[in-house]
Amino acid sequence: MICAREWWDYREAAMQLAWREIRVRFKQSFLGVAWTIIQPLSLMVLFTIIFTRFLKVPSENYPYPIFIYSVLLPWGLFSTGLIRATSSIVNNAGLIQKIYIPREIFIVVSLAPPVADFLLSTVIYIGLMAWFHVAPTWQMLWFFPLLAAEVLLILGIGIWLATFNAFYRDASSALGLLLQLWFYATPIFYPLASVPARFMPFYRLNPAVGIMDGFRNVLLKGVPPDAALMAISLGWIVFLLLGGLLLFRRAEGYFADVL
Amino acid sequence: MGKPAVVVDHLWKRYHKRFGTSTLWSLFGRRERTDDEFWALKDVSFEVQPGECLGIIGPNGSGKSTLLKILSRITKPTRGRIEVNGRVASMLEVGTGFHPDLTGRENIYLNGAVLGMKRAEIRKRFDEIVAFSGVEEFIDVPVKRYSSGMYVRLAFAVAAHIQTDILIMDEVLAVGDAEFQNKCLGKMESAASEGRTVLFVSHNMAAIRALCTRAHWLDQGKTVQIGDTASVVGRYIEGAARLTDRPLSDRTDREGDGSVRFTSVTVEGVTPDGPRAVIGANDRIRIRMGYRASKAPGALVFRVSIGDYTRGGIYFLDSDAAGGFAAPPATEGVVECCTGPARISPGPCYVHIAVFNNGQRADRVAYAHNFIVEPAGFDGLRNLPPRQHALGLIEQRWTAQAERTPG
Repeated sequence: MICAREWWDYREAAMQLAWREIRVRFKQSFLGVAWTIIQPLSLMVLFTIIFTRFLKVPSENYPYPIFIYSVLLPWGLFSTGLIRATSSIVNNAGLIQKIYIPREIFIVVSLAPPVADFLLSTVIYIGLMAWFHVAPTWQMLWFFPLLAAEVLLILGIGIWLATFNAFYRDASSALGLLLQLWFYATPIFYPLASVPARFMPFYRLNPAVGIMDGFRNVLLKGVPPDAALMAISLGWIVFLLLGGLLLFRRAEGYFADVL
Repeated sequence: MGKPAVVVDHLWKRYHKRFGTSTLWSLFGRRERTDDEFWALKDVSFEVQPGECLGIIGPNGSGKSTLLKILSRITKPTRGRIEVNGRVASMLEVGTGFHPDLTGRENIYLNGAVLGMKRAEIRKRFDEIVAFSGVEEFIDVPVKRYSSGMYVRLAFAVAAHIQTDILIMDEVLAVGDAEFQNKCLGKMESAASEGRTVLFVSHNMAAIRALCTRAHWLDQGKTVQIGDTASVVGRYIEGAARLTDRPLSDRTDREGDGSVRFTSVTVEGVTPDGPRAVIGANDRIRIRMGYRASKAPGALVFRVSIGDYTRGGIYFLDSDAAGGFAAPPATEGVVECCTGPARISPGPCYVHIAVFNNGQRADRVAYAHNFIVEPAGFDGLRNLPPRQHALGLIEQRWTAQAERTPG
């Protein structure tokens, strides 16, 4: 619990660093903030064309654009969040070698821009809801706990990958491959219901399944997240975060030497 | 007496010369290879009392920076323990965390926060910081548009306004123009006089003497001497002078990749009447350096630095800056540099020599040679000022004019 107090002491530095990450992206950029919306929107259009015209993918009777967008958003946060978290320690080598700040802060701070993007592009989702006549429900309040769970999951995986990446840059390369596989092993462009029952015992071990399917449930279907799947995700989160912190605490003293 | 501000207790730090992967395995308890390790600090212990200003001196590679890194918690000691009582601000670099795309204003807040200042604190001292840096007009311009001088001034200004109990500084004074350096020294002096604890690494013996109450001399990771500034600095300078008396072939404390090695160095004075071993205050100085390369070298650049033991560099001679050689130096040979009139005040001087092979440092010998400037030979000055008053000599003409009283 010593670390919790230390994090509190460094909260202002963390806020400033997070603000820096967000500000820097929009400097010397013509379209600036618009990019955060252009990206998921164009992916949505692309996926809709492919999975409704080229392939007939079931979307449980919902309009495909909103069906995919409801999960494309949290998936975008998941993949960019993981990429940024993994390289956060290496990217801040200059600071780490010259100043002491609890190093976990760099991992947390690296998520500021993707989370900001995520919140901004949910505005588009509200527009899509109006367009496709999807009525808001109270279940949508699950959005916030789901977001919290997703950020914790990214941190849990990110802390392991960031630590390995400080020693071996292979972690970044491996992550690219991992994310591609992960995309197909998660109900993003297809509904969870289309996963064959005999695959389910393995499929559900994927910690992202509960969260991504949860987002679709609460944003689109108006039903709460699946409790069993969420329990698996939460189990992963606790294991990854605690184990990751232990590993990180042992390794961080060497970061300045090996970076 | 209360608790000391800093306690360093039998500190050891090991580095690996090759890529640091063995460290990852050591986290999991695997045995490390020992053939490529070296110890940057070997059993260093000391205490600093609150309000004390400790100067840390020693040649390059003696472990000074490693010590500061451990005290700033940037890296962990391999063995031993440190205890720091109070808030610490460490400046191992000027402008840590500065982002080129952010404006001066944004960077002040960012840098201040990273160095441990609260937002309210920064806001309160913002105007002071800007005034100290002297970049008022450009405060809302991205710092990548700054000149390097402006950048450094702004960065130091932030650091200088941190109010912490303990201040750790690494040679940051080596940047900026003379006026700004004086400003920085003044700021540090006032920090020390306000009762803050200061740990300060520098090669500038004059600054160490002026600021520090005690000095700690490190060499090759070990404490040579720790005590009051005058005696430690005095012995350090003596040691440097003694080093100069050792023949070049005995010197193993060299830096560089070794692709070229110095074999000899001589310094003599050149007068209109011919060369002489002693050097007069206005003589030209001729430095001859013998060298040998292990194989045909690339473009060689020779550099010589002539300086005062206490105050540091006087002249910097650079074969490249001076236009290079008419014929490129061979694999083995002697290069000679002949300067203009020395104009150095009487007293001892050291000579560092270095050679770069295709931009890579091949060899560097600190205190490779010394010479004493004789109080003679400078026409037009009857008495030459002693070294403690001035380093340079200059011809001068004085005139006086009577002021006419009005009326």
